[in-house]
Amino acid sequence: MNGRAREVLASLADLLVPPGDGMPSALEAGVASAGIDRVLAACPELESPLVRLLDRGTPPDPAGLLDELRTDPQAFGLLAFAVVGAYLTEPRVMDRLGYRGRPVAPVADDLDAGVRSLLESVLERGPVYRDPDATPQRRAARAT
Amino acid sequence: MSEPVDVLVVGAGPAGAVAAKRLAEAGARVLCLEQGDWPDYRRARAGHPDFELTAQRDWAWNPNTRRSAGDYPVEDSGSDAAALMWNGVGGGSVVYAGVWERNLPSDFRVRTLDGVADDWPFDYEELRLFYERVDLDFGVSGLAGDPAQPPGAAPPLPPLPLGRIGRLGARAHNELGWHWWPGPNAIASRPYRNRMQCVQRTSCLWACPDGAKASVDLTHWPEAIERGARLVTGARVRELRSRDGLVEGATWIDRDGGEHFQPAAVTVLAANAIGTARLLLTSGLANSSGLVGKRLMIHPWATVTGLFGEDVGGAHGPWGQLLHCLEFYETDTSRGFVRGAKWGLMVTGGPVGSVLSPFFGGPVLGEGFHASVRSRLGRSAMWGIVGEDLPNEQNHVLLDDSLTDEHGIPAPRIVHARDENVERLMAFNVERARESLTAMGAYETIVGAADRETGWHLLGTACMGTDPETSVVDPFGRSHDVANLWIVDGSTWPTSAAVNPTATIAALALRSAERLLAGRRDQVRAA
Repeated sequence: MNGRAREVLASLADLLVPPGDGMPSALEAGVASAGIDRVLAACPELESPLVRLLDRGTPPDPAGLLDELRTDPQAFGLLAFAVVGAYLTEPRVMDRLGYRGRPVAPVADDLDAGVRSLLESVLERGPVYRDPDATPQRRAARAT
Repeated sequence: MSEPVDVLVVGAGPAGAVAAKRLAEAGARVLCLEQGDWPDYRRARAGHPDFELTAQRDWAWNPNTRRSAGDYPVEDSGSDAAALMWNGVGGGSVVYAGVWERNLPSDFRVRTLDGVADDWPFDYEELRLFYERVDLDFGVSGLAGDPAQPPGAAPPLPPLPLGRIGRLGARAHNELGWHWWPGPNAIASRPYRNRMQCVQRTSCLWACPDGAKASVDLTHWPEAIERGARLVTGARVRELRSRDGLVEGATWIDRDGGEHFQPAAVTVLAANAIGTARLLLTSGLANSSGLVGKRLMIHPWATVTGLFGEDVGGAHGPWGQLLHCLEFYETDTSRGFVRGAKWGLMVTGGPVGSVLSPFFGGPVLGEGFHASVRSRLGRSAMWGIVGEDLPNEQNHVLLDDSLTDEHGIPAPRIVHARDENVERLMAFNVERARESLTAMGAYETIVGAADRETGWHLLGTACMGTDPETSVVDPFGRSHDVANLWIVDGSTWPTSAAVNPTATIAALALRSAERLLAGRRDQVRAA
């Protein structure tokens, strides 16, 4: 991503992900540098449309530009995906959230006595489906 | 011209795979033409940091977004839902959640019981043994004895764990007096045949990289090929060629644009309710009823997500269903609508989805960003609600006047709108799902944003029945008009039921294959 587009991204990023709640802002998390590089390495097809969106010179009014972008859901969706994707795949951010990705964890049978007891209650309430053969119309149809 | 085959199958998704495997087992010379390719599981990135960045690209559900080599455009501007599908070996089973539901007995008697739409030309009992057979082939995990279903054989594998979320749901529904049961899923809870045990990567909807979910590229095609079936990928069927009222075979186009003709004694369509209708319309076949393409049904889908005050395990787990609820499946006219819905309780996935997914009501950015991530990631659970869409001839597939695929074949245009019954049905179920989550302990519930990207279940468009004037195929899927043409996908459904359809599509395909085999001596064949 070229420098001009990167500058515009930097001017908008903290509006989308500001600091707070013990978490860094987008810029503090490197969204406009290593973060966007990480997104574009995974999704190189996003670079051209992102650059087209952002290569417009540093805006004097970033909030105004963001409002303008919001009127185009596709464009705003692309920007949001890039910034959020860059931010939430940053290892320090994931660490602070306590999120460790999708580790391998084989499923374990949990049909223990507690669950079986819960199931007993369901069974006690009886069938919840309609039996068409139990209706007078169906019985008559079957009989003929 | 290629060597003639006994049976030509068009489409390598669940319906085509089930039919091809059974026919090949019985010794038929089977060839399948599939416009897409085998799934490339190297692109299934669960376990890698870029999973949420790449999943919606490489495993996108909408062919208009994905635009893979096997895809064709679908003109959907006149539809309230986009048609979602996977055009490749495995079909929709590559990107489905693995939720494995049977239609209920009442689904086969809609007209008799509720006075709307149509009855199916057979009943649940007719399909029960086929359900049990496909349960084995797909390696279904679940628990026998569900009081929402008639009694029958147990699935081959024990259910997936309920986990924390499932237990909360179970207790809440017991308090409410509502049905729940461990969810049936075509996801292996233990190693099974050539499948691995689920390791909870939470990626079912974007291809399982671990071989735990039953997609037919794993469960059926290897065995079908071993039994002699041939599968040609990158093969887009242009049209079926007919003479003297019979299909002679299919003209198809390879990846390089080369045109071929595959002769066959019998042709079986398994290209989904959009693709099959498209092919029949481009071929001008099997439409004396005028009903090809008509009665397109797309299940309405809604989500309600609950936020909990602590981690309930919502970020991890199989993304099938932990438990299901059919409390509101059957008609109760006091609710102001007919028919009903099935619910599946699910995890909610990773951090990017927690602030961008429609499941959570749409993007949250700026001020509320961090609070939203923290309150949702791992701390949420979701009811996915599938409602019934009744048939309506105004909802249909036709050929677009100008849009074509890359080979110049007319693209399908879909027209679909929810009716008032669906709106009431879904509104009712959404409110009940909120009550359920509140009873589970959720301090807040979020109704998913209106989302067009929900047309997973494509049904109708070549309705089955006994009367050639009011149906396209007979009760076994054979065309009334063309004696050697069969349809084995979800096109043939007279009504849509309100459950995830793959189990029934598979059972129907197996039933059709058995019928074809049983009658092969009398089967009219192309010369």
